[in-house]
Amino acid sequence: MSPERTPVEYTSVRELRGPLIVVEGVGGVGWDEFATITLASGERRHGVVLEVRDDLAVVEVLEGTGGMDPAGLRMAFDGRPLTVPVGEGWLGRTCDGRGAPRDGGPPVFGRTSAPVEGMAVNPVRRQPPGEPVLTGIAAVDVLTTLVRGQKLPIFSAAGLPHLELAVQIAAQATTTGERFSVVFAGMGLTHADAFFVQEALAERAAAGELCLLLNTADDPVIERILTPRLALTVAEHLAFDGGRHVLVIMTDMTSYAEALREVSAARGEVPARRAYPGYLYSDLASLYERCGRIVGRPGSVTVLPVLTMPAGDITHPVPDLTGYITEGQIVLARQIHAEGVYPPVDALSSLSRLMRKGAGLGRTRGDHLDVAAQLTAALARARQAGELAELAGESALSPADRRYLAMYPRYLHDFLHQERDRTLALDESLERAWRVLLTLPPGELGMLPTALLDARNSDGSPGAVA
Amino acid sequence: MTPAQARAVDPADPLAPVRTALLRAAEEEAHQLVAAARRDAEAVVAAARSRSTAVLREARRQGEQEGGRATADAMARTRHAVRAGVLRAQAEAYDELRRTVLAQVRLCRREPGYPAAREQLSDQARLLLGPEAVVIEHPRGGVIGTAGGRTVDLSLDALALRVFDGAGAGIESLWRT
Repeated sequence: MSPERTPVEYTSVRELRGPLIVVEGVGGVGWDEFATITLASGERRHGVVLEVRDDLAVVEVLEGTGGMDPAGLRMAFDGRPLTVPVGEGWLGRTCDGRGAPRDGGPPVFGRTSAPVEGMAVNPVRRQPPGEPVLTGIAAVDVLTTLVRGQKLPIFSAAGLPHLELAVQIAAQATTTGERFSVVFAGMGLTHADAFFVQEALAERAAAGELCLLLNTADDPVIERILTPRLALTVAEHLAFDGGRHVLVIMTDMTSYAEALREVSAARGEVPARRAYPGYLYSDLASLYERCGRIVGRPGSVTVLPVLTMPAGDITHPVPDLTGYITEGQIVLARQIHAEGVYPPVDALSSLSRLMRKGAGLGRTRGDHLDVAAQLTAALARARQAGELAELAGESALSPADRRYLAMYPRYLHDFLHQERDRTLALDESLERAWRVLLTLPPGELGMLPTALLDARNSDGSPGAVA
Repeated sequence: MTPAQARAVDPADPLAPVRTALLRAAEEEAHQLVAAARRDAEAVVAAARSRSTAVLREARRQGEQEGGRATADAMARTRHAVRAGVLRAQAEAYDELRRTVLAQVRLCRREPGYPAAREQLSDQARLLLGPEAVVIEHPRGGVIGTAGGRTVDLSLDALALRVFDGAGAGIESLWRT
């Protein structure tokens, strides 16, 4: 709010209900407008306009209505949606879902402000994604390489370690040699999860490389809708004004979509699939499409949304619509998790559509794409062999199929599995992949160029690969 | 017993050759057993040495790893504590500045120009709310105007805080040199 502007405050409160305040006698107020509520004690709270009809406005209070006396309450409308200061002041800070400090520090300052609503990158000014973001996770870096400017979701289910994986990626990810930052937006987290995230990312935050926005499950749903927008607004300015490569991790987008459904119901909108609003697709796109690279501007915004599929249903509206917008997916599997393997990435259901723009000679390593393709093909064959063995018995398998079957546990334990605090360098991850592949007869490694195979010693030690 | 030995047998002690042969065989067997036992002992000692070396190496590696981890944890905790301390200090400086601004602005009431400023604020309140607005002086300076469910806060506190909140990054100069 500009200092010159003296806001007219409204004092006729018709009703307080849950987190909602109904104010009457208002004029010129619009949806999503930000409001400041002053209590008789002088305490200030904030809200967002959910609904306006005639001279009535329904405002959802971000801090809740507990302890409010309608008689002494004043409400001022900003005349615009929430704006936040932007800049490097966010780095190293831990805030709630609307940007208020949770770390005991002062408010976050910035030289300029920007509306959190933001807007998607203009398609004609987009620079195609390129160059990798290395996560230090073998399964991601080797098989579904994350590319700067990409949107790559993690599809998970309740009980799987998606939060641990998201936090590990937030703690380890880098763009070697270039300025890199992480914005982590947690939505609908339990207090235990919020504590875990804060503890696990404290070091990176203290190093001034990370901004943490934590919206907990007991926070108002309207704040949950603001959280990813705030995260993206902060990231855009760090990237395109500050020249950084920024990774935005948003978890859990299903929780976000449920908040959207709740607000939509409160607004009396006609529900669509599973009561989500009909505009869920365009709403998700308005978030995901804010990532990318811009022609003539430094930096990039890469988005890694995490979403839990209710009952593991990949056709649920949230993963379904997300899948239409994003450029691939990383799928976590319950069966692999049951084997005690972390991270339980199902490589055959996972895909990074932009991997070829971020991996290979001059980007990661000359043999990367060939190794990834061969390993994926070998996994597909191992799965077929496993299914055949279930039907006809292992003795009915060909010798080659038996080799594939024997390779699979090696893949799980020697390639996929890694400690939750261990960063694997890309070379190390690729060597793990090679070791698994070299358990197969050379005749089965047809996707690897002969020169690459010849460059390897029989024990799998690296040869001369570019 | 060969025929020659049989022939050389002393009739007084016909079992002597048997005894001699048994003794020799027993001695040979004892030598073999001792040699085997010695070999076994050497192997056991060598294996124990090798195992102890491996255990020692593993213990050293684990110790280094745990030491490294403990050092890293301690450093991370220290960095975190330092960062928390810095943020706390910044928040205190921010709050102190806010208190000072409010205290100073309230002193304006003693200025000779205050009555004129209060009138200007009253006019502004009526401009915003209409001529029917009721305007009263705020106990800490400035005015409050109200009219039919609407109010404008033109108290000195509110005016000062609006300017303070709009100061943005300028406030960071408190802790940035």
